[in-house]
Amino acid sequence: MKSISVIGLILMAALILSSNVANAATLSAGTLIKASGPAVYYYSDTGKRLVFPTEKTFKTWFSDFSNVTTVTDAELAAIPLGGNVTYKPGVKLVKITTDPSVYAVAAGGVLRHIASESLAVSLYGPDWNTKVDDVPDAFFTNYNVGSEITSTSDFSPSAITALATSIDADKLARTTGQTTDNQNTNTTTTTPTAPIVTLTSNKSPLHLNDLVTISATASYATGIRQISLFFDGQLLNTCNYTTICNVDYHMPAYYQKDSFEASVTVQTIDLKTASKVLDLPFASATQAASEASIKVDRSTINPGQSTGITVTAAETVNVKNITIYVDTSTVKGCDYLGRTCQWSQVYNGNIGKTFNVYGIITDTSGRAYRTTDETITLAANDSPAVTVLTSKPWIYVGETVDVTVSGADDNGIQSNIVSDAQKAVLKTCSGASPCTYSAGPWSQTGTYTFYGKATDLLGASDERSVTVEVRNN
Amino acid sequence: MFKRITSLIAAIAMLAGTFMPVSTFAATTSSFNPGTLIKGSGQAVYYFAENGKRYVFPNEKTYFTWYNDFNKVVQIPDTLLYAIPIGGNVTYRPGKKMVKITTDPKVYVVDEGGYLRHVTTEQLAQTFYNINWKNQVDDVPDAFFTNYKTGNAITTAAEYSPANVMTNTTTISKDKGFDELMAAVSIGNTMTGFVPSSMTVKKGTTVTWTNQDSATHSVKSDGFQSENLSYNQSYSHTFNSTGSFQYYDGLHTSVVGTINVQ
Repeated sequence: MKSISVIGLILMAALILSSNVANAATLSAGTLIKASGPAVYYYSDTGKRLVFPTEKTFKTWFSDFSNVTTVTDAELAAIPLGGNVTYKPGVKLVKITTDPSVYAVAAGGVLRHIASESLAVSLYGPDWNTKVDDVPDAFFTNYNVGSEITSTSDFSPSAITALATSIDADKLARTTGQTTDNQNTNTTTTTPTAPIVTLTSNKSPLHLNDLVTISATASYATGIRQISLFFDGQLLNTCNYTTICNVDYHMPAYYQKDSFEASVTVQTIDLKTASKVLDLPFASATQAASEASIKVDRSTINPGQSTGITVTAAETVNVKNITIYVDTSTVKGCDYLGRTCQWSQVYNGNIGKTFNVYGIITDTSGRAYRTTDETITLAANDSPAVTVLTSKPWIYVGETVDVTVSGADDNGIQSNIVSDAQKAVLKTCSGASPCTYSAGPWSQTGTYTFYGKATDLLGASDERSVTVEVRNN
Repeated sequence: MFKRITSLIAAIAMLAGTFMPVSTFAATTSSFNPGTLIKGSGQAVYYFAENGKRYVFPNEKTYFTWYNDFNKVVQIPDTLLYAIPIGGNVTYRPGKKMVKITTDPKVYVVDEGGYLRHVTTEQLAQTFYNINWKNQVDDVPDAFFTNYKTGNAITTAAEYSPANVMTNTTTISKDKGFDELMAAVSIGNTMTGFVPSSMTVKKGTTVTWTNQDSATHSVKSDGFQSENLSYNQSYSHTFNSTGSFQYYDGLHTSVVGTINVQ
């Protein structure tokens, strides 16, 4: 009886909405919609409407009903149902009434059993039991049960919630089972002669340290006996008597490969087999990698002035070559010349013009690492060229180090400033003379960052950073 | 308006309340077979299938397309019910009724395997379910529509026969396409043991044991023996001769079970 009042609440809330009638043709994906009836639906980017099976499900995604668009009954009827919305990942823990197991909700409506109470406390705090919702048995089938969570490193509620930016995004992460695929499409009911297998990865290309979820679905008239998931030939998970199988694979911190291969083998009840392979390339040079850094000597210059660009590879990379790009054109390639590549040129154009610069490092196994994108701007007043230097590249615990900031500019330098990693000013020196701050001593090892900022007499400034490593002696 | 809605939703939510079996159960049993209706101390009734999972009746209407009463429901200890995973929802028995959803006027017949097929004309509906066909249409709540698959629309009377599909789907297992020569046992913790602890199957049946516990277990007998099974791992054995086969957990020898082969 309790569930009646819960559902009643959704209806009540929906009923008191002010009408904001819109034409279905103008609906954009991700909109909440309703017609004259009380039920609220999510208008998916597949053109279908998704059902909120309970109010609690709705509340994991939306705090209120303030953004619901009303359409006509005929328009609503024309939008096919596309299935049920599942809990927003990470927000709540769930269980069913007839099973004491508590599950965390992972991406795509995957439930992962939490192995122990101490783990629940670590993940959801000491009041974790107030965050457990009972999912009615009849909606449990909207979820897939994934692997068990056995350690805190296995699951991060906040990270998983942050990834679920919308219901559509979460559905995309879902292992699209055959049942969902068939929904409202005109498929025939004839018996397939071979099992239908899908294999998907939530990430591609792959990065180092990525947590990759590999998902397979299989459908066949007489049923599926077993689904086995492999990553690079290594068996990671076996699922029996189910149409859906998932596994999480933690990418290592270092890998000497360009591509990976996920594969699935399926065995049906009548012993037919099928398999599928998914090639997963290693991250291409489209996203910034932490292994590649870029430094622009002066980010703001006068038209006709020059500035230098330095691209540096981390020590973990076996550098083959480094290429520097300005506005997507290759301006400099460095082969087998160590970890850095430098380029300086004159930039011409009108004031306000910007140049996009970045570098790509290729390692000996052909893998590419891209730096972040930096901008060089042409302005009436150029920014000073700032140099930050330390007296030693590294020191022992208990020693001090001098950090010196010097600025150079055609207009003359007004001040040089040394700041700490939080940009709190440590020392300010007026005039053009270099500014030196004696930092330390430190009692702990680690890497410490300092910023140097120079400001010219016209007020233009620029900032650079330097790091000091403190080692044990 | 609101009253109509509450009563509609009430029909969904009432399932537990109306699922009180006619007879009260003085005792529970840990012995039951695939195809049995099971319940715990709560009121919800489940269908125990050949894959060792329990299937949920999403509402009372769905239940009554398959059964007339609750006489055959077997009560099992709650701890055993916990050990049996939920497999999904039961759908309407094919042929019994037509269905629709509240927010779409289309009427569908139910075909084998939980497929819905749009009935394109009123004449067809009359052919299948007589002049009073409108009384044979149930509203399926939106949230349960996802349990069905959509098949081809029906344009001629020859494409569908309520009587024929009912003959082909005498059990939920047949509708769901389960092999009758399959059976499954869940391995719970040492308190729950094998679920069901005793089961009767036909000769030639393959029984699959799946460990649903976080601890390691095994299946051991004179004639067959599994490796150690960790969580979610399975072992299968086909029984090709009749008799009563006792087995036990090789790691917890007090946990025993029986497969009766007929």
